[in-house]
Amino acid sequence: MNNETKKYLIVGALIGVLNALLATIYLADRPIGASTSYPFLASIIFDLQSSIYYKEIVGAGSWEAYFLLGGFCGALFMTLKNKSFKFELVPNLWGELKGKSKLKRVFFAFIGGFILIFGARLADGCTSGHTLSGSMELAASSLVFTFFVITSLIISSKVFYGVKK
Amino acid sequence: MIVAFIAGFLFAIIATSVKITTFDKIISFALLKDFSVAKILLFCNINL
Repeated sequence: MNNETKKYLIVGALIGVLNALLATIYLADRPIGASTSYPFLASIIFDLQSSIYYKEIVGAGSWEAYFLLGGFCGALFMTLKNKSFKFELVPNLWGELKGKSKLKRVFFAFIGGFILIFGARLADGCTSGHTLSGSMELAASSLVFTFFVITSLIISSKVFYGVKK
Repeated sequence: MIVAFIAGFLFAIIATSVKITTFDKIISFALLKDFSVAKILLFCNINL
């Protein structure tokens, strides 16, 4: 096993331990998840707190909003610590394959984000809730979700980017 | 809420230690075939 593979093994194990600890009743009694925070925040912004859906998601949504805030701060901390912080509207891989247009990048980022959250609401969870947390619990729906996410990721990246090197 | 914040903070630190997200690697695999499938499977499924 080389060092790169060992690194993934350690990172995977640490995320597994973190997720398992959070799922205990002593900490959060809740697995890692992210996408419910978006309809939660959108409901607050657009004053939809009286809706039935908001009442259903308010618990998970508020927890995940704080989780994402912590994630943002953690990522910011790491980039500042590594001195790799920078503002980047067009990532390198996108720039190489789709061009340097900022407008094009923002447009597709919006479309991608819209589809992602729409799909996550349909599936009642995203890659965090299903792939990380649900798979850990061997939930059938999460295993099916993960299989189709990875399959469609490979297919759509080939079709969308369409590059052969 | 403090637990959620700390969990997110730790999650980001752990995840950024590999410097690249899982899905970036899948895209790299699909396009460039430059990574071992075993790594992504290891990363995802170690949680099982």
